[in-house]
Amino acid sequence: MMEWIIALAVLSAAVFAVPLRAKWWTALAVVGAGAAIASAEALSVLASGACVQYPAASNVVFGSGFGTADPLSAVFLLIVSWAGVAVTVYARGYLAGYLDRKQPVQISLHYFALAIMFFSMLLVVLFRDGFGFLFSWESMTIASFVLILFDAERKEVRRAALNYLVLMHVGFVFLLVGFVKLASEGLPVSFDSLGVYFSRQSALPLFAVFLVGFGMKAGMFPLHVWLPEAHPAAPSHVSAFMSGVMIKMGVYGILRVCSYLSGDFYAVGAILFAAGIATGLWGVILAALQNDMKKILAYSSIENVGIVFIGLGFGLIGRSGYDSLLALCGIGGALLHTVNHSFFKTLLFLGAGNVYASLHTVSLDKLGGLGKRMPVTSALFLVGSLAICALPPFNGFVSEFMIYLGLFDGVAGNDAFTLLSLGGVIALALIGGLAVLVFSKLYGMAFLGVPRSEAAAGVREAGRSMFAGMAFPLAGILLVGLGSCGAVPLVADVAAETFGLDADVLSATVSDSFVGLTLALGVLVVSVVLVGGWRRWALRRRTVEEGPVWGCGFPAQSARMQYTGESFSEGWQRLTRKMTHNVGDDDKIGSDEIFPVSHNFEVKHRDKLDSLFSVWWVALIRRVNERFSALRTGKVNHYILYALLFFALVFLLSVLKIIR
Amino acid sequence: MLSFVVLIFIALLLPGVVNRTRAVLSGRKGVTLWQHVLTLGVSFRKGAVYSPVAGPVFRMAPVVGLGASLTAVAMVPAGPSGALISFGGDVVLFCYLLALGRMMLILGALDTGSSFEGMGASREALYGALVEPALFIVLGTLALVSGHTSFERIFARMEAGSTEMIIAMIPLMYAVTKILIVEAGRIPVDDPRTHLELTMIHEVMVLDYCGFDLGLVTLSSWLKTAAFAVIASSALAATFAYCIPLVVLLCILIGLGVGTIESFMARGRLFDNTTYIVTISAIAFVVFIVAFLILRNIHIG
Repeated sequence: MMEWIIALAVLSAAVFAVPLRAKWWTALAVVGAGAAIASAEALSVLASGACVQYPAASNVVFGSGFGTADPLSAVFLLIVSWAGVAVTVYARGYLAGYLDRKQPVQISLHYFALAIMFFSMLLVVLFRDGFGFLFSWESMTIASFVLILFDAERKEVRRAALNYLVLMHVGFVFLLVGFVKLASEGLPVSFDSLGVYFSRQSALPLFAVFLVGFGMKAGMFPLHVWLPEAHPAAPSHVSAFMSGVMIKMGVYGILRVCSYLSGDFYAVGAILFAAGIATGLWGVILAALQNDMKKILAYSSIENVGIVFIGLGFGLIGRSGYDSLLALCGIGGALLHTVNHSFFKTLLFLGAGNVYASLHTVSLDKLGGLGKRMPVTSALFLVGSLAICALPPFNGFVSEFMIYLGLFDGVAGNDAFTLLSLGGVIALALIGGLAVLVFSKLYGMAFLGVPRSEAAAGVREAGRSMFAGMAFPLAGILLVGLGSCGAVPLVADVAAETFGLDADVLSATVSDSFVGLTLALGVLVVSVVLVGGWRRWALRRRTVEEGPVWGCGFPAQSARMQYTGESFSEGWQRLTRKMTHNVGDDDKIGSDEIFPVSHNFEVKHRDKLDSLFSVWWVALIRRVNERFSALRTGKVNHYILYALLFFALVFLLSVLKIIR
Repeated sequence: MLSFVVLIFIALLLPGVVNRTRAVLSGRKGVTLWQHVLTLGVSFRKGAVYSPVAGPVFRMAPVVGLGASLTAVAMVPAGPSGALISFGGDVVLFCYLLALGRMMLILGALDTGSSFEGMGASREALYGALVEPALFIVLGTLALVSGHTSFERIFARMEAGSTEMIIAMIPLMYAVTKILIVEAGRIPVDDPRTHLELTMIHEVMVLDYCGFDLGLVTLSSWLKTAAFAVIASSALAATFAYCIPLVVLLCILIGLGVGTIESFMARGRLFDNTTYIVTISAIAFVVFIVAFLILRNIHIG
């Protein structure tokens, strides 16, 4: 199968050759074919539970390398496949507005990069061999960099893309170091060597190296700083692809590395658990303060990665005590949440794309009242918002419920894990509560109320191909949400297979929980329908009239008196002032200003960690550079002198037997 | 089914108990015990008025809220006969159903485009988020002392007759009552009878609901209050004699307590509410640690 994927990736260059009208069709055909092949393979792997090896495939391209599809890869293959098709379908409608403004070659480049990103993600989860893995990892990064740069005329886009590229390569170096370490131990450069390595010595140092490398991609605290910049800069379907799928590659990498652990489960689990709590809380705290739809969604991705890490870390901690139930609930919940997040985050980013395509802004201060003008988008966005807040009966709840089940079981067990589990419960509860604040702000400010700008009042509903793209994640949300008793055993099996656990434990003790949950969610749906029916029946024979909104007796309310995103989170901001760098840019009221004129005022809540990575590093490197630039005289004779000095140094060192 | 009926009964009774307590303590004659139920009946017989701004979310919110509250209440047992729905981990679903109702109500408020309702929505979202950890610590404590994660089994399997547990459960009941005060929007967090929209929380969110929809909102808020009252009283009742009359009696006591607080206290400043709510988490955490230590002691000794 891997030959096919590589061949299709090469074939996708045909986008450049075909005429403008056929570009989308070509991209869709290539991506669709890849998705069909990959998901067929993934389903057969999941059904049989056996690994499939592809030695021949990579021999052609990467020498001794090889790939394997196991159930863990299969889950990620499925995520990449459906999301790839969904965003490609969506791209048509989104790019329709750009066709007259962009060169055909730019459109081709965009589709080509989209296809390459798709195929390299498929390869990332298939390759076990270090070289092949790093190659596809790198091509994924480059392709996404090109995709972010689509709107390269805007300065902040270039800045974000560059920032992204640099930080991804910092992460790449860490991965490289990890594999080099394996090679230096005399092991083949492959993930499979990790098993041998971990059985020989303490796993922690090498795990930490991989954690930084993969955590950078996943948006783990404090390596997340690229994420809230890059996601808003990219076109919306690219943000959806990056946030829904690409950052999951980091999660995949960490899962993959953890699956080779043979000891040290507790330490590794505790690190991931702590990192998860920090990531989740940081993400949601900052998400609540943002006033830009895509920025909120980006921070909420960080929050969800945190939830995944909490589950994963807790599962590994459970694994350390040979508690299969905790391990399955934690790891399985993390895996399911990864899948779920790809559904609702894709849906939400595509929804934000619908808004952007019509208004060219996603700033909450300029939106409002879109619900009446974009009924379908707004309904889809509502489902996505409820799902991402983990509210029943949608899919986010199912995976969080699974993690909660493990945590509560740890609390109720009254053993060594009780206090730790309670910590996890508190963190998840706080994250969940704040997620409600974040998304009621996002949805309420953008889609409800009165339009805050003239443009928002004239917004038009998105086109059909955009809804077609959004139908994929919607189906996933409903399927997992209402069919939890089918989805949960599936991921539990994958977790059991990957981490050598006993899957029967789950079916023995908690499967009735999920049957009960499915039933209860059914009761919820039925009771909502019944109450709705009662209301409709009752109101049919009564007077239903229109009247003004209550304004405390003040009749002339305007859109400007509405609550804004900033004022909505004002209470929260009072509590978290210390955590952000708050900037207010305004032009001051002049002393000679007798009659009021219009003023601009802009508030920003910047991540305090931003400066940790950009300013501090850059300043240091600059300072070191300045010292060395004195040597750069521009005279040839000086340079020859340096070369001479270098040779003398090498000579001296070898004479002294310091180097050989 | 019996539990469900008892819960509905408590839901309808509690506001009356609070009202009567307040009336008696302030020396008024007051309305009868069931007046509020009659008022609710009047609401349900009315039509509705909608602002031109309000869309489908505004109309949907009370319906989803009541549906969620009904499902949540169905999971709470009011005595040894058990709950309507019960499965391991239903405590989690309970909390998230209440969150669903809250989020829909917040969105309904924002749908009107009114600045007052925005204020209420913003406050409700913040306080709801902050009260969540307290609620989960309480549920964690219950899971710890009983070894189970569904309401029905938690209360059925709690060790009865242990003095230490009774002592631990009294502050737990106190913490849940405080959560009830926050969730139901009573003094000192929120004053349901205030006349100034600027200082309201829950009431200002539902300013634009009237008639039938207001009835739905009121009913689901009563159900929520009753669920918390029953959880608080069951936690205590289960430690010595778990039976329906005792649970109902303790619920009435909670109602009397809330009424008494309302008679003698003014509402706090809005900005003090966050402190008030975070304190509940602290109390709940202390209770958890105490229960943890008690259990350790029993197991070792």
